[in-house]
Amino acid sequence: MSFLHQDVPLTWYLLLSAVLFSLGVVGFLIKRNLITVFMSIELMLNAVNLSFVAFAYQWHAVKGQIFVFFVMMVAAAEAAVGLAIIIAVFRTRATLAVDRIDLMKL
Amino acid sequence: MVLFTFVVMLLNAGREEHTLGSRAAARVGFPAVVVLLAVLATIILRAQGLGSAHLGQGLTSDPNGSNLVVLSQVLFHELLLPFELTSVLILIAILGAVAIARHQGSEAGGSERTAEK
Repeated sequence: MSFLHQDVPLTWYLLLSAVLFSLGVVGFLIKRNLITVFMSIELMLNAVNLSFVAFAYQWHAVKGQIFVFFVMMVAAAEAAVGLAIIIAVFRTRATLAVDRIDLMKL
Repeated sequence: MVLFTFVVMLLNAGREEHTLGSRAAARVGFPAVVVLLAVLATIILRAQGLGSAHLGQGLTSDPNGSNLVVLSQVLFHELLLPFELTSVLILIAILGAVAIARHQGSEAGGSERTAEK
């Protein structure tokens, strides 16, 4: 298993993070489905998480990696509540198009 | 991700529809995101002093050291209170999700029943 003892430059992690973040922005801008938009937001969040944990490795900061763990916890809670809100919106409006969901109250 | 899949299955929505605003966003958004990616990549590639991650090596340079020891020292000693608070947060989130999804559903069902009458 020689590939387990190679050095991966930190730049690659950061580039991957930037690419993932850009994909999230593209999805957020182009897609008009509420679930897809939400997934794009989650993708952006995880891209930032990746760069965070890469920098934490670089500075040998264990607290940074623990912080990413907390961020994932909060993201999981947010995803659960957000998907529940999406279900509620779909039940009341019968659509998931974000252009039609432009009123706070029916 | 599993949650997303469940919701996609549950809702069974049709194809997404594009409007004037979404086409404009797509037309402006693609070049803007390409520019954003180019700027980010330039910054990252020009950054000096970035090290490299050695695969197969943990958080400690000690060959006998364990990742678990290092992580749990921080997580369960220094950050014990935030760790316990996240469990409460998750619990509240679960309860909130169930309450939102169920309450709206029963309300919609009730209004449908009154409409039928």
